[in-house]
Amino acid sequence: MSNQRNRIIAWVDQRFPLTRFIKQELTEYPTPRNLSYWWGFGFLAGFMLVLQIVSGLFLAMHYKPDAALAFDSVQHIMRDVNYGWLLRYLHSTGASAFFVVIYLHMARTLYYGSYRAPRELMWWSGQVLLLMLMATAFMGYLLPWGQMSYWGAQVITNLFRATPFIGDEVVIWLRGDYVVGDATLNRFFALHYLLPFLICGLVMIHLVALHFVKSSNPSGINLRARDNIPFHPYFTIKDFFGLGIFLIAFCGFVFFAPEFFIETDNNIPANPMQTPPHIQPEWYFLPFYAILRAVPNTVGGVVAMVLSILVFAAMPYLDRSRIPGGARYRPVYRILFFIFVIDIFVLSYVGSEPLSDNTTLAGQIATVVYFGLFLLIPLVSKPEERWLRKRGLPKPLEELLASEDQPLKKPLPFPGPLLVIGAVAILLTALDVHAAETKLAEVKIDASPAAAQRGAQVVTQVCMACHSLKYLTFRDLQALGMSQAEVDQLRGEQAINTPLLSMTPPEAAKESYGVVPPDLSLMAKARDGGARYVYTLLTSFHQDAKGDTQNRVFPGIRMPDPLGYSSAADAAQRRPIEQQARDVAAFLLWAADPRAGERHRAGYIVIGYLAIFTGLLYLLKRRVWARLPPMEPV
Amino acid sequence: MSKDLPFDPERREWLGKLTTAVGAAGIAGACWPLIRSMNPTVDVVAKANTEVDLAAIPPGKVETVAWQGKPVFVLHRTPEEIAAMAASSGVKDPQPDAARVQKPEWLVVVGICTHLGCVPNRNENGWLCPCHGSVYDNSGRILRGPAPRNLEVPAYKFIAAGKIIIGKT
Repeated sequence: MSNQRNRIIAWVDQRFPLTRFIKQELTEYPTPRNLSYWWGFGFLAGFMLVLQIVSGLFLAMHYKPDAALAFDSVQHIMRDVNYGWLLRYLHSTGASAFFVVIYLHMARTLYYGSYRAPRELMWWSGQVLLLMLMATAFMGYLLPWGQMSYWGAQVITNLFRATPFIGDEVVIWLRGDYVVGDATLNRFFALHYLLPFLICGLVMIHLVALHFVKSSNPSGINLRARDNIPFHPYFTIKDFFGLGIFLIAFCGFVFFAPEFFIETDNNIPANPMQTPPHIQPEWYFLPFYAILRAVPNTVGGVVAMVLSILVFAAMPYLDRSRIPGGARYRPVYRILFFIFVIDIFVLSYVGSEPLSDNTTLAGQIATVVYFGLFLLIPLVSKPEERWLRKRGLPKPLEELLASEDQPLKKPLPFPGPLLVIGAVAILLTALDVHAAETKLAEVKIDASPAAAQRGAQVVTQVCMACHSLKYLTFRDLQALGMSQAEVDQLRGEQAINTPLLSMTPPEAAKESYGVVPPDLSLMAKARDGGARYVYTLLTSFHQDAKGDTQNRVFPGIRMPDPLGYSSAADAAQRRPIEQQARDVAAFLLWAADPRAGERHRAGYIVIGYLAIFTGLLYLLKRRVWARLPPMEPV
Repeated sequence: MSKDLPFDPERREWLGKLTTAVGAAGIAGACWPLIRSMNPTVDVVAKANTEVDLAAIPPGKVETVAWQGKPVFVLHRTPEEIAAMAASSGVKDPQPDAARVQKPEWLVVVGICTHLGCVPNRNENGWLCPCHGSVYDNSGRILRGPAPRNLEVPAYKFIAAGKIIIGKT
């Protein structure tokens, strides 16, 4: 058996350098043994690339890049495709996770000065990869064809008006239409599918360069030969253990908080006639968006934004110091790094806030600081080096390079916790979770099936007089637990697979109320506060002095008081109506996410499995690394 | 390199194999949703049953209905046809007529030739496939031609008031 295998491998080796390749790039590839977990983010980025390609491939089998169908096809994926919700949430959460990983990968490179010679080409190929990733994410974000998708694409394509002389023509050319339209959606889908393969190609170049120059390491100097250990098994197991930890956090979002990364407004289909009150890009674009807005002039803003990304490429030239190890041994550089990180967080916050005098000023200051830091580096890096040498460090540089244990100064670890806290802070501010909800009633919605079933009665008998729930069918009501008889009575002559359409045709409703009553299928996701929004809306009707029915919290709403809340005389009469409102909210919560139960169950299994697997990886990693003697000081 | 350390190769090998097995199981498990996602979606499966109103089909006539996207022949047989079919049992794929119908007046068969998948055309004695000339009788049984088997009888059942529902329910 093994003889047979050896003969096959020998046959292959004569025609393809298989064994040599595995030896050179894996089992004998020398890797500095002191790499920390911060060196694992390249591997995680590779994993995310594969995950996005695989989940995207299966999504593309169901998605329809057509302006009239795109939004519906995403709902089809979420509701009808087997595990479609999983594919979509992996992909949407995956986009954010990809950027988290890439930004940490970049932060590590900056902190440890890994961009310096001889790794400039790695840094630059990484820079191009970042731009390609941004383009892919931006085009992918249009595909769900929600309000935020649409207006994001509208604004970003408009930036190209800054092109000299032919700006307007360029914008129309990019869109294939006078506004973002069907043609735009179709080409964005094509390019969104293409770019990841180009990224794969460039990743290969990135890796070839890496395996030529080898990994940097926290000491900033090349270790002695015996402190370089084979990549496999030491770093395969270390990287996989890191992946396990990462996946537990990632799956926590995918299975239990997937809407965290989806803007409320993106649950409303694209409407070219109306911009949402507050548009903002996804969190990973916020700092650059803030820089764009900080410059009062359109062209200037675009130039500043582009520069803010491209300026990273200049780092190998801007940093004049020859002291190794980046911020680890260089106090001034370290301070600049921290200011830069804080500045990024400030910019993200500013980018997520509506424009006001204060945010504009803060954005302008943060923008000046952003570019100022890059300009400072060449000015301070040489004096810093001279100062460090004079301070006595001086053990000549060569000796320093030979020993990690005699650093210029006690090294500081990578400020990982700070970055993680900051990233969470960005997410929370960027998502602006509280602002819109403060006026909503403090109410706890009982999302049990019983409540949802009661709510279904109210919705089908009251709300559906004017509203549709077009993504649900009578069959779904039966799945919720309504009896066959109830469902049969509701549907009458209609087939069981008929969507739940309002009893009033949309045109007639528009005539009566001036607007087409919105579809309720996604209402609990399409408004800030979700179920609490529904409850508050239904229980805020009252009669004003003139005897007209008004809504306290949402003045000007066209919907009349559907549950008769305003005509209830006292608390006792209001109580059953409040109960009905809670039930309606519970039903709409279920209607917006009927697969939530399935998702949670799957989540427990997946995270349980990952916990066990990661535990095993940890044990194995300890065993594997136990073979190495401690790293000797020189 | 490893002499003076608590390094136990046997234990490590055992742990390595276990971890690899658990990891492989995880990868296999992760493939499952991907494979499942390519199966017919919930809304397609829900449409896998077709109701047919039999009252609209006079004796001697056949109605072709779509079931799961496939043509199904529903033939209302006359007493003469019933008698003729009960008397024979086919040629290439012998089967009594009683085994192919639930009620003698109604023949329900999938209208796809068992040879290469064309839809046979109706004639007075049964069906003739236009592609390669397979001939079926009024029980959907193959008489002559290249088709190897009788026309398939789908799962169906009679529901209230002269209606059938085709498909598993």
